[in-house]
Amino acid sequence: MPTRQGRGPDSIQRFLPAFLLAASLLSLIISTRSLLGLPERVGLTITGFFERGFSSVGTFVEDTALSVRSLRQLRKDYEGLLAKTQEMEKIQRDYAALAAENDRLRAQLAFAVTIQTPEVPARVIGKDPGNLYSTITIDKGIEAGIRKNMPVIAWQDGTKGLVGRVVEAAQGTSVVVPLYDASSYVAARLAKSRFEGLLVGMGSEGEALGLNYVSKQALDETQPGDLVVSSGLDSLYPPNLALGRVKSISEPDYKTSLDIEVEPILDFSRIEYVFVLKASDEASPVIQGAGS
Amino acid sequence: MMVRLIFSIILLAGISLISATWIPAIAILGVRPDLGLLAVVWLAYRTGPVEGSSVAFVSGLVDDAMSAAPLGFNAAVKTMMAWIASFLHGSVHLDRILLPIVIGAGSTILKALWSTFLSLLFGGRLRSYDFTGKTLWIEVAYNAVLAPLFFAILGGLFSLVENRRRGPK
Repeated sequence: MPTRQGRGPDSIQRFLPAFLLAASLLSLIISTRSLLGLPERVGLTITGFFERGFSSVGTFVEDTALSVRSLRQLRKDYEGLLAKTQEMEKIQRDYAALAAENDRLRAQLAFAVTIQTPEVPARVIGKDPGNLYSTITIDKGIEAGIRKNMPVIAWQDGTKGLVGRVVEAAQGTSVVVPLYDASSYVAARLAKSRFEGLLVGMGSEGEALGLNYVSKQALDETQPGDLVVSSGLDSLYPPNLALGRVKSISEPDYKTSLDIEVEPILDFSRIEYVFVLKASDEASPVIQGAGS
Repeated sequence: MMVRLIFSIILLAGISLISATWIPAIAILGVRPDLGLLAVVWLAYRTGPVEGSSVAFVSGLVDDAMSAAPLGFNAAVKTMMAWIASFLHGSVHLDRILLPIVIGAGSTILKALWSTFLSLLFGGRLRSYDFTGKTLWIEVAYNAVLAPLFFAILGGLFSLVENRRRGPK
């Protein structure tokens, strides 16, 4: 037989979920108008502390479990690298000759560009908890000089590539939006033909990036496998950072530009360490030239 | 109730942290299961609207702090899901396999619908799922497959806490 409950608990049962939902929506109204930067930073600082802890425990367990396999792999790699070293020595000699020739040509042009960019190394400690937003959390923040909009790069298999940019920096933690995020836009160019375009993320780690607004004139000079680099025209990212390689090209009749799919140069699922470029306000390209 | 509420909040905060740090390692085609959603739905089913929505709200705020989502987005999504799930409280018997699978898949689809509605409400400033894309459907399948095991683990943990509070008979 149902019992009659007091009016208080009944009202709470009825109105608390609605009240909390209203509070969430109110937060959304305020935060989507960007009035609430501070609470998010405070929250990120607190959760970042725990995130670092959890990540460290996970890394420790993983490292311990994989150490035996790693040792076996290391031995195999060592033997492979020994063979490669001999090959590299030969390439090195050729490279030295090319570098010397390059210097001579630069001297003849009386023009040299030196970019001095301090880098802050950081470890990836987490990713966005959901699938809708795709951010990466790193273990360095304001105390390491990291600020909003600084570019982030990573090395993978000997290649330096652009990871994305910092969107939020807190004490001890920063949030990076990677290239594949749907909100990511990078001014890019095809390294070989020098045609410009805009590289956009498709929102998913496994999907190719889209290179838009590339002139149809580039069709004859573009092939799958061509390198795409940053152009530096957006003032956010330095020029000539590797972004990806052309995967496919299509020429829709209804558009004035090509549709190019780009395979990211970095495998984002394997990124463990990144470097934040403190280029925005603390360093700038130093242009030296007799003629300038 | 207070001990259970605090335990639930700590549990969900832990699940959020695990989702950000360890769960990416088991992603399928870059898509991760939403353990936070499953936990919120299960808690709301088990404890009712008051505890369920309170815990969901706090857990959503923790997610918002770690995510690029605007503050309040995950809180709104999780609170709504908890509220809906709380209607099952006391009226539906949860079996071991079938219903958890249905709840896992259904709650993910409802989450996608609700986030699409929020995205429309806020003029596209919020992200929403692409119903024709693979991400949503992989997540639906992943959540459905994991739900029976995950619900069983949560049930075990809760029984442990409740038995300790009652003490030995």
